[in-house]
Amino acid sequence: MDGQQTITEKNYPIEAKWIFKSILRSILSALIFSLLFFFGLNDSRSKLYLIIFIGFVPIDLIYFALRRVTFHYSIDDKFLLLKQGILSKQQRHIPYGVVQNIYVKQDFLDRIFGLTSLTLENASANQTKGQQAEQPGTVGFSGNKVIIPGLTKENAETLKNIILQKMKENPIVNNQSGL
Amino acid sequence: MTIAMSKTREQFPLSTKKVLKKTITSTLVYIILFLVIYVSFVLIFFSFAFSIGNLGLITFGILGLLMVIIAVTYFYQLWYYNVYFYDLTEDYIVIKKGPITPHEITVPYERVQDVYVDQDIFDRLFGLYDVHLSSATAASGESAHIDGVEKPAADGLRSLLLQRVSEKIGKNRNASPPA
Repeated sequence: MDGQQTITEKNYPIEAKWIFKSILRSILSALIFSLLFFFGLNDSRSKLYLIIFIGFVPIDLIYFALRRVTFHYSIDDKFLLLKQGILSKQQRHIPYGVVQNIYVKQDFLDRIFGLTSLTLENASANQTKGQQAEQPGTVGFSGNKVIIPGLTKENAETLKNIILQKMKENPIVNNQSGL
Repeated sequence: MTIAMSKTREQFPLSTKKVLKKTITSTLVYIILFLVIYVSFVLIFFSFAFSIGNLGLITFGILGLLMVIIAVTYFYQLWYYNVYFYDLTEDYIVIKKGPITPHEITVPYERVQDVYVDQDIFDRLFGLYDVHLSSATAASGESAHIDGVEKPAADGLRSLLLQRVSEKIGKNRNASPPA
């Protein structure tokens, strides 16, 4: 890899395993939620719900696969350029100076699948309070967060260090705006 | 089990009393619940004069279960204590915690908005302090804290943090061209 090339999602991709992890996670959360309703139902009703759940798997598969291929990031000179969206496309430029902090985390399923997610936060409004549980299959940006899930542990660490380096090279010149 | 040591943790160590405090605070609700259940059982037995053999079995069962819960919590907290990692590096504050679902936050000194030290009621009993810091995001305030250090370490951490922050901000300000 030559140093001149800008780093994109091709260098540090979201692993294909992430799709299966997201499917599993959405199924598990749906199952736990619906367990409350299963009690007291007869067998045929339960079977119907089971069929509905299984029916959602291919839809999930398509959805998460599309989310994965439509998410792009590239680490440019001055900005972190992000693109996402299946039908409605969104683009976002984040100057490195305004990135407030970086999280590297693994949840329980991530540990099983050997994945790591990287989250950047800036100080814009529309913050989700606290460490709110992320929706299954969260990828990309919303509010003040940029989430790049499904990286391998090494890739997440490398990407974190690249972004930290960029933040150091592009400090906030006046402490107010960051631009 | 090896302790996740860093230069900062060597200099400002976490107190071992933290394990004890965390064990007590997180099992307190079970202790109270089980005692209430036990006392109500005892009252029922005495008012209806059942055989004492059953009461012995119930005492053994309830206290045994409570002991198991406390032991499990204790070992989990010990594990948590051992993997608790914090380091004030040249440019960033890195805090990593969580043995099963690791969660790491990196905050550059320039982005620190707030440093504060607090104690809850159990901290006061044990003589422990929590050092909090936050950047401009809501989530960072909740995940970036070093809890369970004793007074000298808390004061040391706070003054080191404040010193590094003002150094970094001062440097950036001088480096910026007077546009």
